[in-house]
Amino acid sequence: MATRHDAALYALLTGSATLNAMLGTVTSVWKNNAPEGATMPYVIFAESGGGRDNRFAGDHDDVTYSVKCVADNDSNGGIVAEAAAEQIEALCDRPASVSMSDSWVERATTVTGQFSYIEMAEKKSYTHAGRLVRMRADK
Amino acid sequence: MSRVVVKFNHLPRVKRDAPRRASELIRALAFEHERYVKQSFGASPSPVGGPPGVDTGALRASIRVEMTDALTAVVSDGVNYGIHLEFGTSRMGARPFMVPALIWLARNVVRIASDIGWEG
Repeated sequence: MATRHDAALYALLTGSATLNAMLGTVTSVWKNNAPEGATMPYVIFAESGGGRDNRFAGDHDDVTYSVKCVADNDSNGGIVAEAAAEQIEALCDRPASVSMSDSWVERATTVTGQFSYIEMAEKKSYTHAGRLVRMRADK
Repeated sequence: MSRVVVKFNHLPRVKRDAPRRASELIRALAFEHERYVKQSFGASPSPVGGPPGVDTGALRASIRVEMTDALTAVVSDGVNYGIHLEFGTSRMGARPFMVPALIWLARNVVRIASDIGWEG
């Protein structure tokens, strides 16, 4: 289940010229965490909850992701990460049109929350800013 | 011509009780959220994407419910690394625990309401 949503969300994020320009490269989108030494800023998406919804007849998925930008505060990380989060919202709060595999059809992709925080690590600080993105699909 | 005769008018009682019953529901949902979060914690180390594992137990023990007014409940943790587990850091994948509970709560709100005496 997660694979088809992962692929759809990855395609949505990497398909945006605006977000790519903010990140500097199309390869700056990662699932769960970035490889060690990855160049910031980058985008991380991770499943936060939900899954198969068995309350109704038929096949339904209802998955919520956290999608965030991580940026180094030595390079205006706060501004960069918040701007990228705004772009993530623009991409992910939208009418259904994401392609999915195995005949699944996206029903709706919506932003349901937002978050922002500072991480301190080894005398450096990083801003994490993102959105909670809910993806629903039927088959 | 139709004619309606109201023999039992419960509307005044419903109107009178609604704020108290709504508050009871909010409170019940908040405590169910807290219970779900605390019970979701597993063994340490925990896998990426799963709820945090218990090491010292400080995070789990710090989770609490506060009714800030009659219709608002806040479920929060009291450690500075809670949000780092919820959404991850630059070196660690997320171990979400609040958001999964919220999603579970949304799917179970009717049952929880029924448990405290709300009728469908």
